[in-house]
Amino acid sequence: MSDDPFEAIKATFFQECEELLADLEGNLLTLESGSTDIEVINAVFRAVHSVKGGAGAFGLENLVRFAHVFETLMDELRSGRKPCDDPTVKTLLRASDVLADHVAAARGAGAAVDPVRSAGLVAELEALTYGGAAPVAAAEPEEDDFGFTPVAMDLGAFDAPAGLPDLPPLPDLAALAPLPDLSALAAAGGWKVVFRPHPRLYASANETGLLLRELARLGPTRVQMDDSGLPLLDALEPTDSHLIWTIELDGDASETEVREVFDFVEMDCDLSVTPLGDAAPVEAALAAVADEDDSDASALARAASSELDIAALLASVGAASTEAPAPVAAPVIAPAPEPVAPPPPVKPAPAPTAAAPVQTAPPAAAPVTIRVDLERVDRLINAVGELVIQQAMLAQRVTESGLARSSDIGLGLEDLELLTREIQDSVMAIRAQPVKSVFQRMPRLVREAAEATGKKVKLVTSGEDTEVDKTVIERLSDPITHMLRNAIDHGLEGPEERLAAGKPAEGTVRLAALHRSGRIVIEISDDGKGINRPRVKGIAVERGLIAEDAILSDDEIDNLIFLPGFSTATEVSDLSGRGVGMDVVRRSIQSLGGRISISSVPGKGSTFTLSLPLTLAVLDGMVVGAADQTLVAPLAAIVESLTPNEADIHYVGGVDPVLRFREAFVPLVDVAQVMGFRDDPTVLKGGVVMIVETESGQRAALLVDAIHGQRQVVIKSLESNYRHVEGVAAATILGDGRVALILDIDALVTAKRSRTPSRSDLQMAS
Amino acid sequence: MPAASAIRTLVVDDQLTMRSLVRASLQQIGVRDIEEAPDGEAALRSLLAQPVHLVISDFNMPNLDGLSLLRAIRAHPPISKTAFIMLTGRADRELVQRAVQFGVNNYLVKPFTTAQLKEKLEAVFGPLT
Repeated sequence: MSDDPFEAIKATFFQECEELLADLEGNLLTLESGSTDIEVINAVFRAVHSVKGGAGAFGLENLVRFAHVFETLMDELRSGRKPCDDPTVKTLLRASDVLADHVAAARGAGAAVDPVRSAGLVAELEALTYGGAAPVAAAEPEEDDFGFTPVAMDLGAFDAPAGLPDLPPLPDLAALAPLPDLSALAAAGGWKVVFRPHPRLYASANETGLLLRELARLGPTRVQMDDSGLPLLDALEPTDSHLIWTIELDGDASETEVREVFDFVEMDCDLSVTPLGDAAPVEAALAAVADEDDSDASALARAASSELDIAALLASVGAASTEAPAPVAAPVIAPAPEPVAPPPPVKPAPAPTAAAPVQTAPPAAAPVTIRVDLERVDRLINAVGELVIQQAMLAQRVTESGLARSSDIGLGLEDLELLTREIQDSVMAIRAQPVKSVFQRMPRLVREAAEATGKKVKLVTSGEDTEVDKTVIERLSDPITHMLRNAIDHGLEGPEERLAAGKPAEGTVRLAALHRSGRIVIEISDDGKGINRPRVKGIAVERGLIAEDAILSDDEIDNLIFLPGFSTATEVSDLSGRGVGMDVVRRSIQSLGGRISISSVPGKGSTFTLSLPLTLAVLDGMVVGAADQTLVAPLAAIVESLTPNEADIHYVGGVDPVLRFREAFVPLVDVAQVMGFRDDPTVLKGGVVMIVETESGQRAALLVDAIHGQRQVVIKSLESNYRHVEGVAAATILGDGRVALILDIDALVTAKRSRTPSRSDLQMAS
Repeated sequence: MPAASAIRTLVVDDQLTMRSLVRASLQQIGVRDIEEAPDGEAALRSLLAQPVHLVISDFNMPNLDGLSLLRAIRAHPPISKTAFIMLTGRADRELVQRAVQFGVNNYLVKPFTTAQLKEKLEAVFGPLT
């Protein structure tokens, strides 16, 4: 089974494993929270079973072995032979971690599995399965069935003296009889049609009466009108639709024929066509099975009803199948009980519509998905990015050629722009994924961190369904991991200290994701001791990061931990340290166009807030000019733009310009000067000001020479093409084919404030 | 001697991996017309909309397990004669015995080889061309 097609399936298997492992952990956490739902236990069993099944097919011996031990215990638990108590669930959780390790090792993605840990868990699982005694001998032959050389399951060979009954031959099928024509069958009993016209139906001059008469030509009908939706006369809107019609049609008309009557009004009404009297085919089939198990009168009544509760039937079938086998001879053709009339004999199809779908009420729409190689999506996104650029260039050419906006080409171009935007949004949506895939790796991390520090920690997550571009998701994992470890290691106190401070012994770490103004925000908070400000300040002074007499606000002190060189050897513990300081976390967030900030209340805990763009591919920007350079400011940051009066500009201490804006003063940043395009002091003449807001909510006024217009730009990373430049977030290609830098508003404002723009850098970049 | 390509088949398993494996093996044998369903209930809906000659089904699945699917098929005359091969994770005597009582035509233990699957198909349909 190692031919080529199987290699592709193997990749599918590992993908599926990831989902299975996530489900597994989720369900185990449900059990940990006290649930004893047998369905959850079953789901855990199935997940482990599926991992094992797939692993067996690919000969992944170690994985199969471990999964097998795991599965055996789950089998005991789901049958109720062993209790699913708290210590057991704890062991299962650790086993799921090791199982994940085995999967990773089999995939060649992870380090080798710690053999001691794995063997330890195998022993634990077996102890739980066999109650401390050595595995009973009976377990041995089963292991054989999982021999990694495929077992040739010859019926005869398997058949011990006790013997399995002979398998029934299939006389009909041996010659591949024509398949039954089910459409004719279902049509035979007549139809129940429920018809609810929309106001639009009447507005387009259709009439219910005519449709009903048309229907009556297919066979005898009984018509009922439901007027319960009819309002009182004074509230009656005469052009509204209030009536619902139920028509029972006898005879052998096909469903297609019935639906054809409503062909022209299908879009303007709610229409359901169900087989009359009898249950729908699926329900009938299930009912037959259910009755066989459950012969009491209520089941029969249920089966007879046309409104079959499929869930209940499924439940009764499911429950019965785990009981002792019914003593019936093979093969069982259910003696269909009276109320469930067996479908009438098959008649020749009445109409040449044999292939018409029989399914009437569509099953609850499960989302249909396909798996696509990420590389293909990325190629598509790149192509769309180029399309956006081309479209912008074309638009510019047309404008330059002097064609009117209302010309055919101008109008066509407008449509093209809308379409391009729509394609872009749709393509981006393809790559958007819930952050769940990152969040669900975290419980394990917290478990291990808690174990390593001897602290008691509860992880609470929220907003797992928040969607963000896949490329962003991939790069979220490391910073979140680091900050969670940090919160547990440095933020939370030990149990005794917490109790002494009047807190519960178990600390809480929260991990939340939410959308806020076009960005994704990740919050990591703990209810620990908060930042020790005197100590942080002391370290910063010691490291020469700030002057000894510097006066800093609490916020500024908290944010010192992000400074390069702040993290020290004494700070680095086994757990959170790993030699990586918070400055590295901040840099990796910044490289994604994100920000990180911290707020802390002594004694109450700290909150780290990460804010990231939803996508790394496109940006809505304002194209501006500053000293002959074309720049792009992210639209999300711009509050408004205005032409300032000379009189509104003041100088703090005679140096730093501020702009009076709505009865407040905001720092004025001359973009050209800060970026190093021009050395002269601020020249206001003819300039335009954009009021911007930074991530931390601080406002500033950016002075530029001109605003050219709003445009969607495709982000090209500066780091991957050049290197990181302070004050510049990325670059883009404009409609005229020129490269423009995208401003990093926060960095600009900060650079202005701290007056340390690295000018040489900026000149090189520009 | 039926042609393998003439056998319309429905593969039922909650695991995409397993469905893909069975499909790949079937294709190697020469079976072309292959449908898939992720659980027993979906399989039943599929069968009633479009009957097949052969169902190859896993045992342990959510919604409706393989045994119940088998019983539902056998109990519903228009499709009751569909051939049914059960896939099992282990050679569980009791399970197979019950499946036989409910009219299973053969069973296959995972992991399996293409040759084994072919053997089972031939046991059900006779030698394939």
